[in-house]
Amino acid sequence: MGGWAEQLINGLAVGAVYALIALGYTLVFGVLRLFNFAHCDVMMAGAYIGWLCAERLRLGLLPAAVAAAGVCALLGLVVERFGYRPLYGASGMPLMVVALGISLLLQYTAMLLFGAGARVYPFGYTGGVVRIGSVTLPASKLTALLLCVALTAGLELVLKYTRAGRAVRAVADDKTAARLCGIYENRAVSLAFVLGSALAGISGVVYGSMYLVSPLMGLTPGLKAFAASVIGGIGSIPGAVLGGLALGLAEALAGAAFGTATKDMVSFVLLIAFLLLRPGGIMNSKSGTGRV
Amino acid sequence: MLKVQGLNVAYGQVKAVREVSLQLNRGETVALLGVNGAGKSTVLLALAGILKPESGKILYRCGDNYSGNKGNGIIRPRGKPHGIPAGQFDSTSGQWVDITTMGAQERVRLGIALVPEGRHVFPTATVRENLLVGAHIRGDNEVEADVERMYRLFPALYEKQRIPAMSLSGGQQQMLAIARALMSRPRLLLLDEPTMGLSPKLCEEVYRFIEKSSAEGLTVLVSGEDGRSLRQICSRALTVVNGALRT
Repeated sequence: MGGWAEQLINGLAVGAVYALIALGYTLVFGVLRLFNFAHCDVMMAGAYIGWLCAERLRLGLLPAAVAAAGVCALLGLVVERFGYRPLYGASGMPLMVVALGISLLLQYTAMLLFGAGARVYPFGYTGGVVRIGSVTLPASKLTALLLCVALTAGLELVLKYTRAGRAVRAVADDKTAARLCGIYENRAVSLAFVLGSALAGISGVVYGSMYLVSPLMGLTPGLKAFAASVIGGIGSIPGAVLGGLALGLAEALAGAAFGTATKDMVSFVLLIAFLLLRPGGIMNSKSGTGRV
Repeated sequence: MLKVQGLNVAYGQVKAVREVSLQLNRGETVALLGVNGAGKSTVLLALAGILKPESGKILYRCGDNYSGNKGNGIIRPRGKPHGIPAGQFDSTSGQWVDITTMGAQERVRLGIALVPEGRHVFPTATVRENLLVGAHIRGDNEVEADVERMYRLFPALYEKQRIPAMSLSGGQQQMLAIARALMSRPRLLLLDEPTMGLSPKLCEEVYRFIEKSSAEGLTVLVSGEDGRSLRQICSRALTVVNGALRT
């Protein structure tokens, strides 16, 4: 029983990281109809910033997460302003090529700065273990879950109750109507990049503290988060969270039942199944509530 | 308040509006009549800054805000429209400003609001959120009071304030689109086919709203095909035929 409970929490914790990355995909897709494939490398940059804070500056998890969020928000802003903005109005393909180019640029810049080898966060950085009854859990997993809940709630509050957040949603809904309300589309797009990249930075710290930090570390969680956002319903914030958690859970349960080799397979089998049977994802409701 | 001189607008090679010249005086209500495809919507989209004209000039004089708002009615929007000297931007300024090359966002800040054909409400946002987005340019503290005012003006919106706009009926969406435009406290309201697809009862409601706004001093340019009804509520009517104004 305890083993399954641990698997459950492990799955939800990994799923929480997928969800945080998927939120960034969803935000940018909402305003630009673009899958920003460089997003997972922004997450990698966040993991390195966190590692520098932890290893070199001896800072705790919270300051490291704040620093990673800040640096990645700035990185997201630069990527949007100089990478994508010159191509607004072009068809999807040039934007996609730029996304892949930025992704490679970030990966190889990290390789240049930190080398190709993996880095490890200090042992026990996110705390030791937590015992709940007979179940023993690493604190890092609970931290990931709590951060996911808190950041998703925070993002919803920003998008619903702030003037800038409502502008982002308005641009995602109807660009012409947004212009008629006096909203500058480019500012809304920049804000979506800033918010998404800040979340990626924090998820980088969490993911990096659970696994290893390397220049190519963003690829796998990035693809899983992409799958999560499609499974949840692309463009939907609750969908991104639900998709991430569902994917993490499915991976953990498949790993426990059929061995760890089946984990990755499960994610992409689920992605293909959703694309074939329910392309709109879990949150493909007619009300559209919760869309960016 | 608005002078249009020799306006030409094209969609690629197709000329949709040819040499349109017109003038709107402050506080008057003018109908823009014509059959489907005549170019009425194109004229309004060009006036609102959504479409860029090929040639011609659009001049605008802010003047005072209309008196239908609470308070002194003068709103100083957040952010100054680009390219306008501070003195001219002052809402009490009496100078003519060439707005031909300005974007839609700047024109909203000058007091020009368009209710587009097809409503274009924000479908996933609630009624209340749509109204708040309509007040995006405002930096004053009377936004909440204006939301309440819109609920009094269109009671159906009050009942549905927490419902996504996509769940509203066509008539309610039209009310919401008008209310959202009013939230920017415009001086000039452009209404593109506001009664299209509405029941006769709702059409009456829209006409009553136009009459009331006109009486309060708001300048209105309203397009439509129903010439008889619009002539009754407007001080004058202009007719568009094949993209040109019929004299």
